[in-house]
Amino acid sequence: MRIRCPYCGERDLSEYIYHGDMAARPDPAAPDAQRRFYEAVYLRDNPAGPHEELWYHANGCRGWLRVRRDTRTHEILDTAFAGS
Amino acid sequence: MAELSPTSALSSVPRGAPGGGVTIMERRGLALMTMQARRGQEHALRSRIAQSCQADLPERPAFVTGRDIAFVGLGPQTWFVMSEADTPAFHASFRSLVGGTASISDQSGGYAVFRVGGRATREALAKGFPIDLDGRAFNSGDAATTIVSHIGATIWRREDAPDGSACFEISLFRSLARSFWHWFSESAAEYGLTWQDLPADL
Ligand SMILES: [Zn+2]
Repeated sequence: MRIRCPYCGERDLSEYIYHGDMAARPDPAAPDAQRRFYEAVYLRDNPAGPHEELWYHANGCRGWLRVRRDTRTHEILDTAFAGS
Repeated sequence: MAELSPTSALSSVPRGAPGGGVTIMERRGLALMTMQARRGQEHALRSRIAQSCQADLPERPAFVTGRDIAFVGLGPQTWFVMSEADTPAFHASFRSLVGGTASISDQSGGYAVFRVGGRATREALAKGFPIDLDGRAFNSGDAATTIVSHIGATIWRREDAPDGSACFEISLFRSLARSFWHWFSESAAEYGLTWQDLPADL
């Protein structure tokens, strides 16, 4: 599997670290924070198809990437810097 | 006062292997820095570097030279800076040049830089670098931060040697230089490996 980094170009999977899906962390100050964290940790969606996720280009530019990946085929549909 | 000269990143070096396919040397005594533009200051940094160093900071993984200085693009708004003038005066003047436009981290003792060449350079490097270093994919002036045999490294291609063979430079953490040398000497041995400018103290 190869991921195209917006800065470095297309690179092998071994240069990256997978961080997980892009879903935002729940607000710990919310009144139902306990339920929200329970759902965020244990009741994640597990889509068969396109998935938005975070990857760290540890052995490259050290940038965080937002990657859209098809979980059935590992096809990389889109990449961008997470902060952009 | 006795002059303090930097020691090699390799405390002892085997002398290579017979044959003339690959050459290597350590570029010792360089001033090395990493530089990151501060928020909103990239334009100001660029113009200062252009004016004082006669260099355009690359916006991509690339190697550019200026007056007595060179820059390699490591990431967005991040560069590796090299100069042969590893003196307190140089460090002080470069720091004051970039002033509030960038953060500088002195890496002169943190990284080691090797120059490799020879007709079989690419064949030897291909055993460890997972990127395409063919001349059609990686031109003179191109750079890449990647891994070599599991060691993080930045590689850039310089102008070809007079005999037409390619010339690359590789920077990596100095503490991993011996691991790099172990991989490189094994990988280059079948083509023959010659040390150039072997430090007198090795
Ligand atoms: Zn990258």
